[in-house]
Amino acid sequence: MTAYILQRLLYNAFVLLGVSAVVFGLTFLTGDPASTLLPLNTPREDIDLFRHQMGYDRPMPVQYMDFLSKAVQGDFGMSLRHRQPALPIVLERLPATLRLALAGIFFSLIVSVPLGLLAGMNKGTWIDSVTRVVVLLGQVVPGFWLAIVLILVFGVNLRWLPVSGSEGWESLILPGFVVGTFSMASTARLLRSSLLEVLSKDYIRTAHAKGLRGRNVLLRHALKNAAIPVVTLMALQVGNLLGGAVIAEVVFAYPGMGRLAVQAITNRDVAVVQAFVALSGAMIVTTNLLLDIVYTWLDPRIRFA
Amino acid sequence: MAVTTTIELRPQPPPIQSGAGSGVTIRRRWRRAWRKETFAQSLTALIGGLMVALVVSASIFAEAISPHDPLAQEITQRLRPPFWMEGGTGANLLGTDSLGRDILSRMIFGSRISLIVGFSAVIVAGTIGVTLGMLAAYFKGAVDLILSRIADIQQAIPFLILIIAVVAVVGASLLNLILVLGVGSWLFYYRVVRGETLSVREEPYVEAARIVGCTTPRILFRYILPNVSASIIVIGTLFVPQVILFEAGLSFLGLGVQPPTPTWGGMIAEGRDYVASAWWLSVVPGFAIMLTVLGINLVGDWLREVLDPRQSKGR
Repeated sequence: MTAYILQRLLYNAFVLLGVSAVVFGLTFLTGDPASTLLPLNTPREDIDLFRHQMGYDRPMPVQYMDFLSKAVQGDFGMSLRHRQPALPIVLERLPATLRLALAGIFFSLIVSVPLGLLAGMNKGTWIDSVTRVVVLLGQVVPGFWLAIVLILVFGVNLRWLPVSGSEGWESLILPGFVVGTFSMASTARLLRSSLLEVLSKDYIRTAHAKGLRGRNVLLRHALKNAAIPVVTLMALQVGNLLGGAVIAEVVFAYPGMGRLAVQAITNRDVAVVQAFVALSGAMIVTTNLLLDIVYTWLDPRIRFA
Repeated sequence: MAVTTTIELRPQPPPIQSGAGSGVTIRRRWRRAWRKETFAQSLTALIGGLMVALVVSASIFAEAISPHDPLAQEITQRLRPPFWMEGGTGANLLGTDSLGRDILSRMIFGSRISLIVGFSAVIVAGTIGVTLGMLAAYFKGAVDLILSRIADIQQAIPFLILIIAVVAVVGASLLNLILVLGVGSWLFYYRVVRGETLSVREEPYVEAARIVGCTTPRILFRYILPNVSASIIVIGTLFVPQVILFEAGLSFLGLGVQPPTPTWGGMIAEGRDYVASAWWLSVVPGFAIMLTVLGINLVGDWLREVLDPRQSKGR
């Protein structure tokens, strides 16, 4: 098992290295970062001077190594707008986004797990049909539109919930729900089909045959096995979760790092965008690594392989 | 002499039905799909097809059917509610926006951007993803290793973030949107096609083609491609709606096709400031997005059931 984890560790480190190359490449998408970063009517000599000062005239591999060695130490350069190091600005917003993401996962699970379970246990009944409709709706409703409708209903008309900012847990409800919808439908659908598959397995018939109570069979034998693909999906959805957080943070004026990133993009504040993309990548890679480790617990075949 | 022998021995490629896929099983699936009882079973697919037809024809005949010029401003008529509300008129069935432009007309014209971006980006993604997926699975080894690792790396970056960052840097135009969304989503095609090709490449007819000396491009495009085509179509129909949602999201963030060109996402964004006073500005265009996405999804689900061997029970 140690060898397995070590191998996954190496692999994920490699992916992270690749992410760093992409982040580095963001600066050079337009060709010349010096003229992109400076105001439009900067004189030619100033652009050249800036290019030299920033080291953009050095060979690309040298620049990348330089970028990498600094990035590893958490240095993504200065934010042009905030006049501060970029990474701390992003990190400062991280807790707010994590709270939002957790709220999103909470809403996603609280809807999708009961729906998926009920639909899987009652295949072909009206419960199954209702689930189908909910899943379909989850697939077709644009998150930003849902956010506006929620603001309209709960904020403007009913005045039940705050529609912007991050004061108290109430302000997490609406944006959290919007973030949750991004994975609600797929989780419910996967849990349903995965449960259906497990329930048709021989060991479930055996469990029933030896007289176990239905609830025990479902919870101890079926659910644990049906959960494996769902856990995978949840982990793979961290990217979606972060993307959904961007949309929700923008609509609800929630002070998280997604909104910061969108602002940085419109301000051409490259260092902040880079820090944000790198941090998101690191979070996704870490989740994948954790997932690999959780697998060894969920699926003993990996542990003893 | 050797050359003639080769030609004589060249195996016949598997039978191909126009654009649909090939091989006996796939043709049977298509035929079963069109049989009356199967189609009636999938009433939802029919409804979905009608929705798609409605949106597609609206975008084609936009000039003819839209009641007003989508760009014409009439300040005296601004923020008119839809016809069913007090103050609404038949002249602007779905009301007017903050500049007095007709919302229905803007929705009709907005369908063009959504559909063009949705379908073109999927074609771009499919072309890249299918070609690379076949190459990776056919050659295995270093090619496969490098391409698959690139896909892994890209998957570690949130898609929306990557797209936003790239569009913000290269600039938002129709072509850029199509390219960025298309190139950005190649890996979804890549993964599926690679997986399917891995099994198809072991089939006897591929081996036979290789033995008689078919060139690699011929093997890939004449023998392997038709046999993975069913999956390609299925991913396409499931991915077009995704891209349409992404395009709407980008337009909503101000990174889509720029105003005054009407886009659904842009219309929703413009209405945000009027949520309290004129809710229909944002809410109504959302239904256009949902109608389109739902329609394509329903057709896609049906296609998947018909074409995807793993989904159908008859095998």
